[in-house]
Amino acid sequence: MKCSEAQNLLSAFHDGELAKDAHSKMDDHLSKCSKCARELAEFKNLSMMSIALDKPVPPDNIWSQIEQQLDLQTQNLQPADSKVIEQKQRRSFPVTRLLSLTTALLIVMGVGWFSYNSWFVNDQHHHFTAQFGHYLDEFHRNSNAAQQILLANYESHPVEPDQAIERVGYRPAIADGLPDGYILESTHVMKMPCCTCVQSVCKRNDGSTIAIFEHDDKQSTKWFGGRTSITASCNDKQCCLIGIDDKIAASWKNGNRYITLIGVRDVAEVGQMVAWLDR
Amino acid sequence: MASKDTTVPEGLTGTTIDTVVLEGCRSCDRVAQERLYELSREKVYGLMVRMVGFQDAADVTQQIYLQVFRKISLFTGRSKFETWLYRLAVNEALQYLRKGNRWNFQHITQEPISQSKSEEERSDVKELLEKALSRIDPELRTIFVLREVEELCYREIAKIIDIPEGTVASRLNRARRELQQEMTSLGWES
Repeated sequence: MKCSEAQNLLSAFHDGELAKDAHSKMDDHLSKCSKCARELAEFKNLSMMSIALDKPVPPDNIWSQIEQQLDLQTQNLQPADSKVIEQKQRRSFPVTRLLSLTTALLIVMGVGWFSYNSWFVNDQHHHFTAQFGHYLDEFHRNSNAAQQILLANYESHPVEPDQAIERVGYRPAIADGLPDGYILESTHVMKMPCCTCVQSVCKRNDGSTIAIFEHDDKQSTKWFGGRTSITASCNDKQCCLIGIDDKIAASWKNGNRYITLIGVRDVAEVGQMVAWLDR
Repeated sequence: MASKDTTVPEGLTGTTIDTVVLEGCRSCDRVAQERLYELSREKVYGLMVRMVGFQDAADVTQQIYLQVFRKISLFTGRSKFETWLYRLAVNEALQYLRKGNRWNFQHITQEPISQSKSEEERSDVKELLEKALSRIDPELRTIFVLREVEELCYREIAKIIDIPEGTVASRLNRARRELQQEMTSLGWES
């Protein structure tokens, strides 16, 4: 068993969640690998410390506050007799007057809809670019917090990569795995304003993060707002590259879809990922 | 506790949240609601202390139970009630943290009055772990607490958080590694 595989299974081994075969392979690896054995010892330490954590006692007044709210809700739900009587006393309205008012209203709504729609689409785009910009800024500082920005703002479903097909109708490139030196952390099907994408967070061996978005938005460079982009050939693919702090974002067409990477180190890494994901 | 003036009906004196208590809650019976609260409050409040901190735990616990009573008719019995309750509690806490943009809360110490030296050392270690927990990502914190404090298995955690079991394992790896890093940065030497 390789270290990279053992590292992924460490928690499951510690928690007794591995099948018998995998458990004995881990046992064998741990007897030979001091690095993994040391990390397992750290996990055990954390578990021992957790046993000693206090069990907080709820304050006594929580229930009385809940009761107060329940009483208020009950009062609000009970209609007064007078209100019921008022609702029954409705004036009749001339039908023709009602029809002409309805027609006028429909015309106004129709005119309003077209002008609102074009304003709304532009405004949505600006809003998305601002939100994505916030994600990019945070990615450089703290990739975990950046991920929370996306999860908080967009409807997303965690999936295993080869199960994403049930939600997006295609098998994402990430389902075929990652090159050596990368570990898949999480995959989500994420409904963003521009598109529904399969978004994966991956870690390099040094713990740094790269995010992979697979989607069908041909205008993905617009995700980056007004940042300067260049086009370069990476492994025979035309890639759009955008500098973000000391990293690169890259976008290219992969078959019928597009791949966008965030947090790439350099052009060589772009080329490596292009080659891998295009296999 | 049921008020001194109320006679607790049969079926509500047990130690488990059974169908009688749940049916009573569905009918908005106050005694049944209080019973459900009594039977589950320590677990829910304890989870909230770890997820949102001491300062806000009582408020969020209150919100959770109001949601429970509002949505109790949606509990169909396909999962264990405890799983349903945990899921509601975790979602409520994560929403609370996201709304306030408070991924990390300030850990508040509860100072003991007097201690022996070994009690002091144990207290330092607990303090360190609690501080480190308050600093990591809330979703990772949740998974760590559900596993290490609530002692739930991966299948139960997966159902509560609605993620695959494999993802529970990988997030626990991350949670433990990040906790270890935080502990080290706080001066812990393993």
